[in-house]
Amino acid sequence: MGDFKQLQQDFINHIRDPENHPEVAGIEDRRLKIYRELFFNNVLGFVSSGFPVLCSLYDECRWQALVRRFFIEHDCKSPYFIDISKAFLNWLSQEREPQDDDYPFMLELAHYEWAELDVSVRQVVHEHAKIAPDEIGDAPLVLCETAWPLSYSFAVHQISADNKPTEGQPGGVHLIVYRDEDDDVQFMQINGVTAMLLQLIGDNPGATLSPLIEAMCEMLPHFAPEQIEAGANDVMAMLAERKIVRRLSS
Amino acid sequence: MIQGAGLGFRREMLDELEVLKANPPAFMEVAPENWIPFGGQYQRLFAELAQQYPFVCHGLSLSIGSYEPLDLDFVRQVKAFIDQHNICLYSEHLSYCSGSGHLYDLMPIPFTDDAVKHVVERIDIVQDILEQKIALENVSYYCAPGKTMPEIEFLNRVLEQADCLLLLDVNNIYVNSVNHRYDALAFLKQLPTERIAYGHIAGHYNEAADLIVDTHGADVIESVWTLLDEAYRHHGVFPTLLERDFNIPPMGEMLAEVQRIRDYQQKYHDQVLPWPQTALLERV
Repeated sequence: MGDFKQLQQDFINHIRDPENHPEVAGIEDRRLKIYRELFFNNVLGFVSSGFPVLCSLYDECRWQALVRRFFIEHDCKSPYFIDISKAFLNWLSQEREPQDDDYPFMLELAHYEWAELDVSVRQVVHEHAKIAPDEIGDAPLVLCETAWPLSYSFAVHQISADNKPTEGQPGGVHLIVYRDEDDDVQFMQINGVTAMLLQLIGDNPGATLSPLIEAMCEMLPHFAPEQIEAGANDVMAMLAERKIVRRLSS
Repeated sequence: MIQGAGLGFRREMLDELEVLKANPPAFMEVAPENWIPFGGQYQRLFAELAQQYPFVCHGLSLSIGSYEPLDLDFVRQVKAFIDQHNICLYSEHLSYCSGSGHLYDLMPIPFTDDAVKHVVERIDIVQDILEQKIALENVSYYCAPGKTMPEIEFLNRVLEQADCLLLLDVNNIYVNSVNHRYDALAFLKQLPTERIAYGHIAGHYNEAADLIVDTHGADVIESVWTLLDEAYRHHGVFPTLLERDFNIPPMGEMLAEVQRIRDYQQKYHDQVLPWPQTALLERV
């Protein structure tokens, strides 16, 4: 098995890192070139389509160099192509050495782009029911499995080639990424208080609205309780309507 | 079971289901890797399709030839998928696509004695978990590192020793016969008739006169159609599907190629190969 394993390892080394492994013994380079190009372009395609905004901020050469580092350095463990994006994000945030010329929002943007992809394909385990408007006060609440509240320091949802922020937003940016009725992915910017409510619902599945409002009043002593309650009721009506918050089914 | 002329189905084709319905293929094929991890609309739509058409699964990531351990969790996920959707057969490539990590494409397995032994052991494990025989495809390759025997000998020894089925890829025989200068017809005739489960036909890309890339990105060429005709003449008619993975044309154009498969099958309608369900498909 020694030779067999070595033959495979030599071939893989060349495909992943041809600069440092310039040949495979006895094989014509034009034949190896087919493999080199097919394999790299395949992974490049998955990463570019998984991170379209991040990709658009790089010229082709720098983007390819980034993906090449990923291809060389990261062992993708998943048999599923869709997981290449997650692997790229993990490599970017945990393994790659940050560079001086990296965009300050690079990791947050990559995370946001992956979150959109993740929500789009997420498998639903529990299909919780929609909450009717008159049930909002009594229903045991749960966050929909295909909704993901996210907080970033940069306004990641507004970044483009023409808008590359150098500093984060004071107080951060709160977003919710969710699937609509047609299972298409949508996002919505929410304020800090709504984000807090969603956090509480996520941490306390099955709680009704009143104890959550009480908890918010304690966390926000500088707001009048009536104001918090009115705000929470309005926000809940909207979240229930979009099925982002649902009734926990037992 | 499957029979007749089929189509390799991709998520990109979901927009054209109505066109498909008007002239339905006899069966379809999907890569389980492209459907298993998808919830939401894809899961729903596939469940509907699987009720309307007979399906086979054609895997991409099993890496049957790799020196790294088999991903048994993944094999069990495939098992759950084929059970859930009542899929009658799982095929894979006689190749490898991973080492310490996945490379997500097919590398040329060394045609050596120890590779035969290694692959046969692994096919046995997979067939045990799936509780059925699998079919292995003769893959296209552009070089053969470490080769100590001809491709046909390697392929036939694996099929025989693993006692598994063959997914006969007609286009790959053509591509390899050009790339490695052998006689396509002679190769075709040496394949074990009784192990043929079904076939693939596809288009490819000419890199050079003596180097063809198996892209599945173009129409099927005449020489490959001729080889399909020869395959039916020699082995009898087996279920065959069109693969199209890149530059996907409108559904109508693909269905015209599916029709052409049907025409060749009609030509040899009195020589239909029996679906190997009783003799070979079931695991004892």
